[in-house]
Amino acid sequence: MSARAYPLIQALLMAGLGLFLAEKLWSGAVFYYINERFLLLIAFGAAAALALAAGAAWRWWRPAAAHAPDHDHDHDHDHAPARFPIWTVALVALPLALGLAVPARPLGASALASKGLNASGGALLSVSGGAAVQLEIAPEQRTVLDWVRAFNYAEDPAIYTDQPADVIGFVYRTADLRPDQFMVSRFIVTCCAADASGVAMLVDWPQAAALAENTWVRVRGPVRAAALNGQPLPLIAAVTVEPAEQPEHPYMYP
Amino acid sequence: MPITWAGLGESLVTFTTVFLSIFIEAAPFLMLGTLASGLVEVFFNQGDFSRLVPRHPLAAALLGGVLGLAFPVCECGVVPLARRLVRKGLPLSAAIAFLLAAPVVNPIVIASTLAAFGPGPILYSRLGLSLLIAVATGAVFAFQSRPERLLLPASRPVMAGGAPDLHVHLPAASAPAAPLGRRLLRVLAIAVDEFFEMGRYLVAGGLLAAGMQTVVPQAALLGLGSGPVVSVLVLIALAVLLSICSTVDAFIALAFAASFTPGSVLAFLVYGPMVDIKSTLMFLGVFQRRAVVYLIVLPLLMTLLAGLFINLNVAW
Repeated sequence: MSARAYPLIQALLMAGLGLFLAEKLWSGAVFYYINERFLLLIAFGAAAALALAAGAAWRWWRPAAAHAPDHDHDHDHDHAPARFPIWTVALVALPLALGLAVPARPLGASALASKGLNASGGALLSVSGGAAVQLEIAPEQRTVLDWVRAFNYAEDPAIYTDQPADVIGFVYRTADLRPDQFMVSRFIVTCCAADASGVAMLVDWPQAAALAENTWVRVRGPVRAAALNGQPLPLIAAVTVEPAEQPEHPYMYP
Repeated sequence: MPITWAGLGESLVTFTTVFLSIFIEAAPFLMLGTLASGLVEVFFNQGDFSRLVPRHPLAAALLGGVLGLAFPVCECGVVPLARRLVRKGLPLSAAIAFLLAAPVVNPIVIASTLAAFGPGPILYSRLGLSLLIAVATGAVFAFQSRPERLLLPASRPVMAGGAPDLHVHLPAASAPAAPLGRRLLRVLAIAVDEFFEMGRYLVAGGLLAAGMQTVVPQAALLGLGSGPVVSVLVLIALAVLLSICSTVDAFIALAFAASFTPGSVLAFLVYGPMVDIKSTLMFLGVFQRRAVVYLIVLPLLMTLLAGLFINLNVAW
């Protein structure tokens, strides 16, 4: 490919990138990647990519005008790069290619297996201002994250025993679970999926073995205190386990 | 776990999600940096910076350290901008201090650190240490007799015999003023070139970081939080591996604050914005390899020392 085509390829790739970002925003798939508070940043990115595409298109269309107006044309150097920078183009095209070729899905059970479970909810509690916040939320309204935090900061988690839980999450199993148990899990994302860490509640459910890993379920039942590797962990003695739709925001934001 | 096709497919999906999340979040910041660089190229004159910047290398480095207050960029955007400033005549010591300090000493990051940790020792030490390490490293570069030789040819200041820009000819802004619309188009044309040039390092760094994350379990690292020495090393390693944008890393650090030593959390907040996988690759596109080694090692040693000192001597 001729080096003269470089600005044209740049324009096409940047336009593709802008449309790709716009489509992620439009479809909501952007929430598979980032915390919702970066929505405006991504919108800026989509617009900026289209503007950069215009800059590249202009240089392809009017190569002479793209130079300084007092440009001295006596010297004899080539304005385009000497060769078509194939590796640069390939690398910059890669996110677009991967994004189109690999189905867009939020992190799930297999990612949790490699990232490991954050049984304590970390220090994330300090963001929301302490266990009091969890107690102000009616038990049925608490998320998996609320329960994990509440348990982690209660002096005696037994105070939550028999409170009714009603949570949504995906099915996750570790090797040490009994066949009639599974975990209902969510990912917490502060910035983007690169910093995701998982939280989970144990579930006692006789038909647990029939549930496919990574499917979204809604679990209802009274809460009990359990432990995992010495960390207190909430357990739901499930009364019902129903299939659920994947939430619009699959990750939770601390 | 046995390796299966389904398992490989799952890993590929996870890898892609993590990689795209890094790219989608960092690319807008990189565009911001390249647009700033384009604006500097088109609207500033060649000598502007050398006139404004003090001659003394240490004073120049100090100025570079606080220049970030005027250019709010993170560690992706700062690389093209720093290179542009060097080409416009900013001394290398000032540019190095700017490169290392600006991702922390800027209004956006100050605000996000304040939001995460409140007005306390973590915020002040983060700013103070970043500035100190950046200025010290910049000053070390000032003792080079031919500092421009540490730069790759395309990054050298034009007066020092750098290669002329492939597309844009200097002196640019001294030209009789072109119509504003045309000048803005030139800003875009410069920015898109730099986006490609730096974007390839961002992509390569994102691939590496996502690959490491898929292979190295985070839990294995996080079990090492309490020792005064090991904790600092672990969080520095994590900062480099995660390659999180400096505008938001304070919130990540918060998640470690309960289980890690204060010195290690601070090391995460100071070193991560200076050096991580993607910024290292970008450095390699601007500096000679020897200079990149200095840029990685000097701040590393200083951060380690500071983290250790805090863990052993300061009770927060």
